[in-house]
Amino acid sequence: MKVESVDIVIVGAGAGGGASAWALTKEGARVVVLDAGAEYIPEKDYKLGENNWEKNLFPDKDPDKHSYTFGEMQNLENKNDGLRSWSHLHGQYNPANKRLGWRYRHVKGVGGSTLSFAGEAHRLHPDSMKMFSRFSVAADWPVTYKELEPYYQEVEKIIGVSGPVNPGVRWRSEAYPLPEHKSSLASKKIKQACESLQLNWDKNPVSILPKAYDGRPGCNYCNNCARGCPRRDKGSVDVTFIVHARRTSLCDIRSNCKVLKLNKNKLNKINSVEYIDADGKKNIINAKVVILSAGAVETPRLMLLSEIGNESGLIGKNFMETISWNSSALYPEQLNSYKGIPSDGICWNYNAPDAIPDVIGGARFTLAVAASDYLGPINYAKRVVSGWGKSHHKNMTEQFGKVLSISAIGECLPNKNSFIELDPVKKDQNGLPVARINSFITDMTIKRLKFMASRCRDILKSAGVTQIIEEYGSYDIFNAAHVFGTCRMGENKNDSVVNSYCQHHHLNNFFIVDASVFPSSGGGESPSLTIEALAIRTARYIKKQLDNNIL
Amino acid sequence: MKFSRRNFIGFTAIFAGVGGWFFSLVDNKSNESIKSEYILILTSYLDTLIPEYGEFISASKAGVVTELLDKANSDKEYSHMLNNGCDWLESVSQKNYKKTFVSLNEEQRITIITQAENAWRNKPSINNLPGYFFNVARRDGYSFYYQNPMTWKALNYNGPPQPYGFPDYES
Repeated sequence: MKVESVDIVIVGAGAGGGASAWALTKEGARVVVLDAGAEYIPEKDYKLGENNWEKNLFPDKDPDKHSYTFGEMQNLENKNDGLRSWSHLHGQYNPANKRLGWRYRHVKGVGGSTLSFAGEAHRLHPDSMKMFSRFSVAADWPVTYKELEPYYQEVEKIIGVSGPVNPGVRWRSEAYPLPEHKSSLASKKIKQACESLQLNWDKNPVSILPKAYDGRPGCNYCNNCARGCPRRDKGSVDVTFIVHARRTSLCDIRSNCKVLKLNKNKLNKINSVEYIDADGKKNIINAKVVILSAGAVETPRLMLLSEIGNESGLIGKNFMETISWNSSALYPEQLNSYKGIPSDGICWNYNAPDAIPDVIGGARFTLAVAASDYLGPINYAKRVVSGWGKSHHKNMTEQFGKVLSISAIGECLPNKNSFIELDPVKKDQNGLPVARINSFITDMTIKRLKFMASRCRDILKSAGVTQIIEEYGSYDIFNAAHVFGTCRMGENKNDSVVNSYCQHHHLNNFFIVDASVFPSSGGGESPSLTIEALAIRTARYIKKQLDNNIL
Repeated sequence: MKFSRRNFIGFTAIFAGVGGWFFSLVDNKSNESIKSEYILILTSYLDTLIPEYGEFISASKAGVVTELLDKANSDKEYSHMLNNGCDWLESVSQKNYKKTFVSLNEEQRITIITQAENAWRNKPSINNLPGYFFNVARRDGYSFYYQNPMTWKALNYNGPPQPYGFPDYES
């Protein structure tokens, strides 16, 4: 067994870990980053130039990628049948009377889930950070929008964010580093529809380059961000933070290294990390500081496995998931809707936590043709066009490129039945219990989902679609990429796990930097920008503490 | 319950069937490949499902038959299903028309395939051989068909997405 000692170990090279590595190495600290997944080489691994490109989604290299289970799911009620997922060709996607645990979309690898994200770079709505004070739900953030703003700005410059001139309620100290993208034809149709409903359709802030920036080329609008960007114009962590961190020569990234355990010493510090390396050998690495950034499912799992840091009893609790709805329809005219960027427009009208009538927690609406994967002929042939033979050919000619989709993502509020625990039966490749995801949709969430579905349908109808062909959402199927809350941050050590600097309340050299620290989920904003801003803020704090010999 | 790892539309697998377990119960040990006499039947079947029409080329010209046979060569359950499906086509053809399936005219072939399609509509189950055979052939047929760039011309589709992208996305 190899044993070594370093200053800082980071577990996970996604949004939190990658941004931490960059911020620490920039300040002269030396870090080792362990990631359970592989390195991805965009030009080689993302095969969007091959004829069968459409048959493969993100080329996940993790052989253990489904290493989680679901707890018992809730029963579905007839009164909510309008929220069932369905397709005009295939009927109900979940015909059972029980909610279906389908998937937690999480990429293990250097870059984490940003490797397959759609590039959305959202700041949180300032009002959504005070959910407990305002509505007695979730918890307040111990850090304000004003405190995060300079870090948001810094992240946006590193990853290259293109955004609108008018930032709305998300005030800015500087303009976006890159100009906004032009709208696709599909987005223009949604904009017209929104305007007729007295809704705004703004440019969506995205870390997709409208022109060359920081040694990376501008986007060529292939719309396939989720399959991985072979050009490196999408600001995933591997081509931004990690590249810059490596240039310092202070960042040692070790892929395919699966952490087994974090060890605590008698001084209430995490003094070492045990992991299995790419060759299958066990290693121990001693560190002054440990940063855990494995996401809101794997982070609590590792802490529970290690039996550390659960003084509050909150590890794994307050789990929040992606609450989403998606409607797709056929538009009567050619849109070539498979072209563009995944979501160039966004409606923020209902994003504030009190914006939806009689509902606590907001939602946002975006173009979703790419999210629905209506990007090529195979999906049209199998999901849009019915029949076979000559009539199928004829209808393919008429309908290809005409799908218009819109999605809504909304606030998820914590509840006692949604939590992460260790599975009592299933083990991973190393014989350790996997995470078990327990998810429950509350009545308030169902009300929010009904509003989201209704508005999606309104917008499509107002756009002039001829027929809705597919809808799916969180009511009957768990399908989440953005998950939050399982190691909540707060000032009070009795009702939170880490403080406002993501520092564990009881283990002062231990930091958690991922969405598991989110006290509330926001009104549908994509979380990576906030994770990265928190990571930089935390890294500066750590460096200062190390320099002052406090850690 | 285990689900498709590939795509959201993998949900269709829940009832549209990629499982193949039923066929594994039938014969999981033999090293079965497609019977040579069935290759012509399969070709005729696929070319009726996906025919030549206007700028569209036929399934066989797009390489769909070859792809299905390749898949069958590496998946004995799949091979078994195709053999049973072709056997069903031939038996119905003999029963209804007293001819082999490949010698039927287009209208007759369409009639038989419609029978399989209706079987699937009435009972979307992997225990329903003609229906399941129809559904798999349609699903996999179109998947293989539209991975051939020759088929994209009829749709005015200038893919694949890279390396050129779609700089004309505004129009």
